[in-house]
Amino acid sequence: MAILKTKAIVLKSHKWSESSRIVTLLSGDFGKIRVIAKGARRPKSGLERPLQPLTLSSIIFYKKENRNLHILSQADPINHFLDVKSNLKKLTYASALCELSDRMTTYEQPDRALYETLIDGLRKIEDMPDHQTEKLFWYFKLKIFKILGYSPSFSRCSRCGIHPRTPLLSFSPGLGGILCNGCSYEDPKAPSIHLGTVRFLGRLTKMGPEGLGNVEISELVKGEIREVLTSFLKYHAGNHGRLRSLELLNTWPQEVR
Amino acid sequence: MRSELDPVAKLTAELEKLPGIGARTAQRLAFHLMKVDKEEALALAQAIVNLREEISYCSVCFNLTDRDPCRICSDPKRDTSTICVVEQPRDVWTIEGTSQYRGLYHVLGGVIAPLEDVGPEDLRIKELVKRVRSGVKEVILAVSAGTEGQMTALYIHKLLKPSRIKISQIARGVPVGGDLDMVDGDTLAQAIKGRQEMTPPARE
Repeated sequence: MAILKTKAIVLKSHKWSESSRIVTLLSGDFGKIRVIAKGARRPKSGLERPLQPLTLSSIIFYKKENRNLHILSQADPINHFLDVKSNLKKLTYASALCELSDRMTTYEQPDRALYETLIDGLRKIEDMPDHQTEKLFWYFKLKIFKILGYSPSFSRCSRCGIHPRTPLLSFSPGLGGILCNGCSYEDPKAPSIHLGTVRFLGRLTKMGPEGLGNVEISELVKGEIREVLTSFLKYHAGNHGRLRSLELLNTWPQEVR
Repeated sequence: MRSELDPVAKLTAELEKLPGIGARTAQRLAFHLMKVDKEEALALAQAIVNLREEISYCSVCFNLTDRDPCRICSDPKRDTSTICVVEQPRDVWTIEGTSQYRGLYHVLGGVIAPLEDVGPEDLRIKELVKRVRSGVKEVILAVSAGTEGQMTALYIHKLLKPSRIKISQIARGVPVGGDLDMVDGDTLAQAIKGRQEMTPPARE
């Protein structure tokens, strides 16, 4: 059994027995890990705050070989992302980003790029105004897809490789990106997408949300992006790719969103 | 080997289902109940029966009660213009224990937890909105200070904001008797943000 120290972001946490918690964290050194924090729910343990979801903490844990539930010994918060947690929109999208990182990864496969992207994503969500939050979420979702090797193509047709110029195209999650009109028969069920949306996604991927400034996006474009990114995630992760934070957001009354 | 019909084994198995009770503790409790006076053991059994038969949820605040509406909701001395929103019935007991609050309560039945598929429709939020329409002046949000509690508080705040009533959240900060150097930076920051003006004590 080794005693290890690392920095990790809390992805989720649930109650276990009378006073403990089982916590899933993402670290740069060890990948996604699951620890049991014994006595964490007792007020004097001091572990409740560092183990809240969406908190970056420094942790010490005992790693047991051949097991995927380790024992947490100490946790100290580094960043609570308080400005994220005081804004409902930011909090929902930040939760969805953590959920995505949890659902798309397996235990104990270190991936520093993913960890750093998640931290960067949470910091940007915290710093930027809340009307930019959904754009930021799309950007980081695409970035996480890229890191994990699933990056969809928005510049060339996924089948013949041409740069399409017709106003209406389709997006095939199975073929990994857009299809020109000539190749759309390859995936007749692929949802349609306007060239403007494709160009916006291409620019977003290249320049990031800051590069786009305060570009206003129509509801049509927003709807297409949501559909394309959701269907792409569902294709690769199946039912496991359901982001419940976002599903809940869609059920909320308009005045709350 | 003990049969499943053996009363001791049966009781042990039932006790083991309780939170925080393991196999050994369950066995110890079962043997303890065998040792005590028969009346004492039967009083415990009767108390459990009464609990399940007589206790239900108050139709107004959703607190646990033996009569509907509950004693708090039907107390004429309570301030009906203030509602304190809590997660669970045990939170009502905790706040009542302070003797500092004389308003009414509303028990949500949990917090919004997307990862556990708990959404606003699974909680008694609609009922809260309905109650607020009937002359309430202030809603105090006393949900837990964790991420999910905060999400619930923000959701309710946004939902009730158009009704133009006062919406407050219980203060967070330094515990009574606590040293400043034992409090983490963020809690201290919240305590400073939520500081209160000191008022001189009233003259006797």
